[in-house]
Amino acid sequence: MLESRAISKYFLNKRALEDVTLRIEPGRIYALLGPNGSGKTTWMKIAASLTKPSAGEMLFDGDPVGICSRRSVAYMSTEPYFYSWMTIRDVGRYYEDFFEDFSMELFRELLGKMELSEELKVKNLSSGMMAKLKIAVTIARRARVYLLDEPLNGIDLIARDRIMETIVGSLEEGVSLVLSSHLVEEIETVVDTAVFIRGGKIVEICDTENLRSEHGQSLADRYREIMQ
Amino acid sequence: MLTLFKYEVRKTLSLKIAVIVLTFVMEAIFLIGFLSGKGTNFQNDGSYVGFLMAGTIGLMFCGLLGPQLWALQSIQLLYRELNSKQSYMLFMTPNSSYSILGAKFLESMLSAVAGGLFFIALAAVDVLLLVVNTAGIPGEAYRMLRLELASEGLTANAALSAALGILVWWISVIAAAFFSVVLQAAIMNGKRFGALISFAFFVAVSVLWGYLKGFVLPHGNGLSGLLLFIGFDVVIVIALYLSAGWIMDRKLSV
Repeated sequence: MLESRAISKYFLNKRALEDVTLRIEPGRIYALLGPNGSGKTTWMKIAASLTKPSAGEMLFDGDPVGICSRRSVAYMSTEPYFYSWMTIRDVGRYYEDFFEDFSMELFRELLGKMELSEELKVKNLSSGMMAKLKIAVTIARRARVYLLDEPLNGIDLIARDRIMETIVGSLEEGVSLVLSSHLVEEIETVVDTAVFIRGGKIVEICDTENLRSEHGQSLADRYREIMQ
Repeated sequence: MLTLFKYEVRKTLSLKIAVIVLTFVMEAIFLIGFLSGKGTNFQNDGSYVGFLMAGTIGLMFCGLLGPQLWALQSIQLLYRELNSKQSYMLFMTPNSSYSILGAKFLESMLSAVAGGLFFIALAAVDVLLLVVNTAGIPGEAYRMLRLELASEGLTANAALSAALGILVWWISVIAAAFFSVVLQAAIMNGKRFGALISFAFFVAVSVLWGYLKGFVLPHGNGLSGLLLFIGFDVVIVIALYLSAGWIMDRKLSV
C-alpha cells in the first residue's frame, strides 16, 4: 500500500532520515516510536507528500506519492495548521470541499464524542481542543491510510484512552493507521507493529503480539531497552 | 481550482471590505460637500469646500492605496502559507502546485481588475457630477469633458491602452513577487530572514526584467510600442507563473 524505499532526508548538513525502508500493509496499525528529532515527523511528511526526500522514493500503490495519493492518505500534523479565521464548522466544510472521502456526518458525530461545538473559533481553542479537532477532521475522511503525528499531544490523561478508542473504532476494515508518539503506554494496546526509529534510522521493527508472547516484553520495556 | 479560488477570496475578504467601506465613507463626505455646494450654486466659500476637499483626497488615497494593499496582502499571505504550518491546508489537498498558485494569481488579478474598474467608475461618476453641475445637462457635460480630454491628446484608444498597460504592469509586479516568495521558500525552508531574501529576489527579478525589456524590445513610441511592451510583460508573467509552479512542484518542502 504505502512503501518507503531507502528514503533519506537532509536539511543542509543535518541528517533527518537515512535509508529508511518500510512497508505499510493494509489493515494494520503501526507505531513510529522514537525520541524527539528521530525523524518520525519527517517520514510522515514525506509519506503525505508534503516534503520531498533527498534520496529514495515513497510509493503509494506502486506510484510515487503526490496529488493522487493525497486523495487516499489522510495526514494529521502535530502542530495546528487551520486558518485562524475559521470556526470548527468552517474546518469541516473546507475538508468537505477538498476531500471526496470526507464525511460531514461522521465529523459531526466525532465532534459530539469529543464535546466540541461547531460554533467555536479555531483561534480560541485550547491545545487539547485543537488536538481533538485535528483528530476528528482527519478521521472523518474515509481514507485508506491515516498518518497521525503525535495525536495525543495536548490531550489530558483521562481523555487519551477514549480518544484512542474513538480513533481505532472509526477505522474501516483494510485501512492502515500509522501513529507516532512519545506516549508508548497509551498506544500499546492498539498497535500491531512497532517501528523504533533513532537518529533518522530504523533500529527495529517488531510485532507487538510476538513481543509480548515470545519475549514477555511490553512495548514500553522494549522502547526503553532500545533507546537507552 | 475554483474551490481554491473561493478560499483565496475568503482569506483576503476582510481587507477588501475595509477598503471599500472606507471608500464609501469618503464618497459620502464628498457627496455632502457636493450637495451643500450645489445648494448655494457653489457661489461662496462655505463649509462644502472642506467636505469636497477631504472627500476627494480620501477617495484618491483609497483608489491609489487600496489595490496596492490588496496586492501586498496576497503576497504576504503566500509568504505566510509557504513558511508556516498553514501550508498544510493547501498542500495536503489533492491539488497541483500550479492550481494552488493559479488560484492565488487569479484572485490577485481579479482584485486588481475589479478594484481598478470600481475606482475608475467611481471617479468618473464624481467628475461627471462636478462637470454636470457647471454645464447643466449630462450630454453636454460629457461632450465638454471629451473635448477637453481630446484637446490634451487623450483619445479613448490611448486611454484604454494606458489602462491596460498599467494593469499588466501591476500584474507583472505581483507575478515577480509571487515568484520571489516561492523561490525563497524552496531555498530557505522557513528559516529566518525569509522576507528579506524574498525582497532581494524580487529586486533582482525586477532589474533583470527591466534589462530584458530594454534589450529585447526596440525603443518605440506610441500605441504600437505600448502594445509591444504589454505583450512582452504578458509573456514574462506566464513564464514566472510556470517557473514558480515548477519550483513548488519539484523543490518545495513544507
